[in-house]
Amino acid sequence: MAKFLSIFDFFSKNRRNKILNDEDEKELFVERYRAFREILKNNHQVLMTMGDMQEKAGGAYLFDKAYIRSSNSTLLSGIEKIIGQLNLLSDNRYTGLMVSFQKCMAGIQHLLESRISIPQTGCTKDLKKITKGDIASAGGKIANLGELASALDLPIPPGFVITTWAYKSFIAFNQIQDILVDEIKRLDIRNYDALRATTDKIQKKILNSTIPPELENEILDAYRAICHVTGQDQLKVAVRSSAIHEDIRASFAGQYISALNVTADEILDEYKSVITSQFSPRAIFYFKDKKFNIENMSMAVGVLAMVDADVSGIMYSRDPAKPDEHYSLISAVWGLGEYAVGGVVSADYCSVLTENGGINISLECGDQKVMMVTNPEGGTDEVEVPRDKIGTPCLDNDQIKDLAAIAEKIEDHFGFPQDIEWSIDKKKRIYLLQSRPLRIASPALRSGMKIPTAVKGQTILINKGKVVCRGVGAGNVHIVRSEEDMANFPDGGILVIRHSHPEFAVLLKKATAVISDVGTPLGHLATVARENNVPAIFNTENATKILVNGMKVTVDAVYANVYKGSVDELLRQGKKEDDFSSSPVVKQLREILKVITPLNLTDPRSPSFNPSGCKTLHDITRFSHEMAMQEMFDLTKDSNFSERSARRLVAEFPLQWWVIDLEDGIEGGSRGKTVKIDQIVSIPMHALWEGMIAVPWKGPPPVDTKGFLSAMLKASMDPSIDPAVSKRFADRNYILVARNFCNISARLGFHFSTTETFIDEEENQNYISFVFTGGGADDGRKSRRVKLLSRLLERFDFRVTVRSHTVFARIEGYKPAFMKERLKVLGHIIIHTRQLDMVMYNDKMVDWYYKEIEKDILSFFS
Amino acid sequence: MTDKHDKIEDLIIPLSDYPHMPYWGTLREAIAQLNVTYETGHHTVLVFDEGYKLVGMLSRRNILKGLVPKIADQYSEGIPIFWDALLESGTEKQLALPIKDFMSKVKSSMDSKDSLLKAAYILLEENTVVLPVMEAEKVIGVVRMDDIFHEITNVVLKL
Repeated sequence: MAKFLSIFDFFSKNRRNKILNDEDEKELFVERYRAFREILKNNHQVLMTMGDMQEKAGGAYLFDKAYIRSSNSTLLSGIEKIIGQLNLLSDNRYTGLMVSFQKCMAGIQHLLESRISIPQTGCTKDLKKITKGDIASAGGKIANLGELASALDLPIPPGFVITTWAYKSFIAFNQIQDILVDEIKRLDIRNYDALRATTDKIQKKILNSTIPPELENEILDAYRAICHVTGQDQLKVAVRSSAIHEDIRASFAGQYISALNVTADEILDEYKSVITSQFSPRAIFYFKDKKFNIENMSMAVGVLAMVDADVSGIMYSRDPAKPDEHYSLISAVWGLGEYAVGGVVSADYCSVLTENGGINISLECGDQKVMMVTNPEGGTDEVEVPRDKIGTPCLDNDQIKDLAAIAEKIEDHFGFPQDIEWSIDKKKRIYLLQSRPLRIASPALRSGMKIPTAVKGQTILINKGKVVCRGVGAGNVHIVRSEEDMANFPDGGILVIRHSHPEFAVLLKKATAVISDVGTPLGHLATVARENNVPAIFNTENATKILVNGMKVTVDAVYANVYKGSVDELLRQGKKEDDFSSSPVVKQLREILKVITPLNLTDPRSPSFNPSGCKTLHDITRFSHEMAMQEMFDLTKDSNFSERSARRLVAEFPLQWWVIDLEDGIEGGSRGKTVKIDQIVSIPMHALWEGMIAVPWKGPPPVDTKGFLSAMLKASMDPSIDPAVSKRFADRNYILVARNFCNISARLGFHFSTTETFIDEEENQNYISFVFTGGGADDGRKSRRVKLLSRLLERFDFRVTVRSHTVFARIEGYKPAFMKERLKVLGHIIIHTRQLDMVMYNDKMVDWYYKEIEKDILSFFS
Repeated sequence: MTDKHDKIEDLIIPLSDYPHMPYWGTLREAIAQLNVTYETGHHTVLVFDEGYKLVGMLSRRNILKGLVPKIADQYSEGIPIFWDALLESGTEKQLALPIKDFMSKVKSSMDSKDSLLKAAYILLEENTVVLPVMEAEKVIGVVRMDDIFHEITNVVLKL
C-alpha cells in the first residue's frame, strides 16, 4: 500500500466536496463507485490485451501489422478510460498520468509509423552465409534457405541474394519512391479498375527503370562467383522473390513470381520482373487491406544455380492430419518441381513413418505423363515422361529415407513442422530449394509438437497448473517467502512462490523459471514473466509444499509439468526459437512492447510510485489500479450519508450498521428504514458475514453511541488519540453494498476496521483490502495484537503491511471461490481479534491466541 | 528513612506489566493468561470493560473455584478425585464461560501517594493479595502483598 495514512490522518482530513450536502453524497458515491468499477473492468481488459500481444511476440503465432495496430488501439483506449475514471474518482488528483500516457503513446506511435528498417548491407550476399536472422535484408524465403546451409550444413544450390538494400538503392537511384507511395496511398483498392490501372502504371515504371551501375556490377560479380563454384561458364539460374513480409504465411504466399532457368543475359531483367511482382493488383490489395506500411515495401531476390532436376518435389516434415505422430509426407515428380507444387500432374506420394529408429514407407505411385525440364537455351519446356520411367517410382527407398531424415532434421532445427521443396539432379544429389513453416490446424500445438506430454522415464513432481509463459527451464528450487529470501535469490534459480505478487518481478531477471501455488495468468507478474521470457507455471496449488530448496527440477511450461532433475530431452527442445521470431512484424511488436509491458513500479512503497514514475503503459495501469483502490477506500471514510439513503441492518449482531445500496446490492431496491441481512444480495458482503457469525461473538453487547462515546473519552489511556477520532465514535458504522462490492466499517471502542472488497467472475478484478487500527491498551499490547493479526492474515494468504498500530492487508487477483473463503476468514478475524489488545501480556499470549483462532478458522474452513 | 520510602509509589507494577482482560474473556483465556505470567509472580488478572474501566479481579482462587465446582462438591462428600474426573465433569463448559461469572469485586484501591502501612492494612482487611492503584479514575497499576511485605520486613530488620 503506497500511502500509509495513519487512521488519525484520514479521520482528521477535510472531507472533499463539502459543498455537496448529505443527500447528494450518495449520488456522488454511486457515480464514483461506477467509475471505480469501470477501472477494474478496463484494467482487466488492458492486461488481457497485453498478455495476448506478448504471446504473439513470442513468435509462435501468426499475425500481421493490422493486429499490432488494433490491439494497440484497444490498449490505448482502455488506458485512457482508466485515467479518466481515476480522475473522476479522485477529484483530478492524477492528471499527471496524462503526461506519462502521452509520452508512451508518442513512443508507440513513432514505432508504429517507423519503417521496418532495411539494414544497410552490401547489395548481394552469398547464400551460404545467410541465416534466418537475415530476414530484413534477404527476405524470409532466402533467409530460411540460407539457414539450412549455414546452420545445418544441408545441401542447397550455390547462389546469392540481391538484398533489400539493393532494392532500396534501385528505387532511390530512379527517384521513384515518392511516386510509388503517393500512387498507392491514393489508391482505392475496392475499385478494381483503378487498382489495375495504378498497378500497371507502377509496374511499367519499375520495368523501365535503370539498375544502378554499381548494383549491376555487383550482381554480375556474384553471378560469376557461382559460375566459378559450379564450374559452369553459362550457368543458368533460378531468380526467386523473397519479400520481407513473405514469411508471415497467410499473406504473400504465391503472390510473387520466380523465374526458372534464367540465362546470364536475362538476370538483370528478371530481377526487375521479380521486384515488379510486388506491385501486382493482388499484392497491393493485400498490402493495403492489411494496412501494411507502404514505405516498408521492399524485396530481396534470390539467385540460385538451376538444378538440372531428375526428380523434384515437396515434402512435409509432418502429416498435418496426424501432427502428433512421426509421419512425414513426400510428393515427387519427374523433372522440375513446379508441377508438383502446382498439382499439375499426378505425382508419387509416400508417407514415411519414423519410429524407434525404424522406418516404414508406404508409397503410392502417380501416373505422370508430362514433366517440366530446363531448356538448354534458357527457360523451361514441357516434355513427355520417358517411357521407361512411366509407372516406376520417382524415388528409391534410400532416397526416401534420406529425404525423410532431412525433413526431420529441419523440423528439429526450427522447432516447427516444415514444408520443404527439393530437387535431385541427374547425379543423384539432393538439393533443398525452400523450407517454410507448415501450417497445421491448431497453432497452439505447433511449437510444443515435439515435446511429449510427459517424458517417459522421468519423475513428475507437479503435473497441474496454468502455463503463463511458455518455455522450458531447469535449475535449483528457491522458495521465496520473505524479503530475505528475495535478497538471497540465486542466479538461474527456479523461483517458487505461494502467490504471484508483482514484487517478485525484480527476480525475473535472475530466475530460470517461475512456479506459483496460486496466481493470476493475467496479473502483473505474469506479464513481466512473458516480458522477460521466463517460463512460468501458475496455480500449481502446492508447489511450495512439494518442492524443497536446492532441489534440481526441470520446468516444462508447455505441458505444465515439473520434473525431478534435469530432463535434457525437454531442455534441447525448449531452446528452439519460434519460427516467426526474426520476422520484421514480430520484431516491431517486440519493440513496441518495450514501451508497453515493462513494469518499473513494482513496489508501491517506493518513492517513485507516482504518475511521473510511470514509464510504460503497464506502469500506468498498475499505478491507476492501486490508486483506484486507495481512492475508493478513502472515499468511504470521507463520506457521510443522510438518513434517507441509509437503512439500518437488522441482524442478530452486537453492532449496529447502516446499509447503503450502491448498485444492485439489496433485493427489491432501497426502500424502507431497515434491511434484513437476507435482503442483501452483495456477494462479498455475504461471504464476510458468514465469517463474522461462524463462531458466536462473546464480546460486549451493543452500546448506544452516545454512552459509548462518553465512556471512551473518560477512560482514554492514550493521549495521542486525536480529538477528531472521538468524532468518529459518534458516526455510524456503514456498509456500502453493490452486487460485487462491499465496504464495511466496524468501530467499537478504541478499535476500527474497514474492509473493502470486490468479487466478480474475472479474477483479475477481485480484491480484499483491510485496515485495522486502534486499541485501548498500552503500546506493547497494541503492538502484540498487531502481530497476532498480521500472522493470522498472512497465514491465510493476505499480504500484510504494518505501520505503528495499524495493519494493512490486501489480497487480490484470485478466483471468486478463493476470495469468498478468504472473506469468511477475514470476517472471523475482524470479530474475534478486536479488543484482544488487552490480553496481549507478552509474545506467548500472541502464540496462544494465534493457535486458538487458527483452530477456529480451520474448523469452518474446508 | 526518607518519606519516599513510606509510600507505595516505588512498588507499583505498571498496568502494562500486569495481566488484564476484558470481562467477556473466557475462563480458558484467563488460565492461558496466568499460565504465561506464572514466572513473573503475577497470579491475578485485572478485569476491565470495553472502556478500560476496572470491573473486577480474577484470582487463582476464583479460577480454581470456577474450574472445579463439581469436584469441590464431590470432595466434600468424600469421593476421591482423579484427573479423568476433572476432564469429564463438565469442565469444558465451564472453560467457555466468561470470567465476569467468577471474578471478585474490587472493594478498595490505592492512590500512588498512599503509604505502605495503609496498603498493608487494606490488604489484611480485604483478605486479598493485590490492590489496584488509581490516578484520576484510571488504573495505573497494582501493588502486591509480596512487595509490601518485603518492604516492611526490610524496615523492621533495620530497627
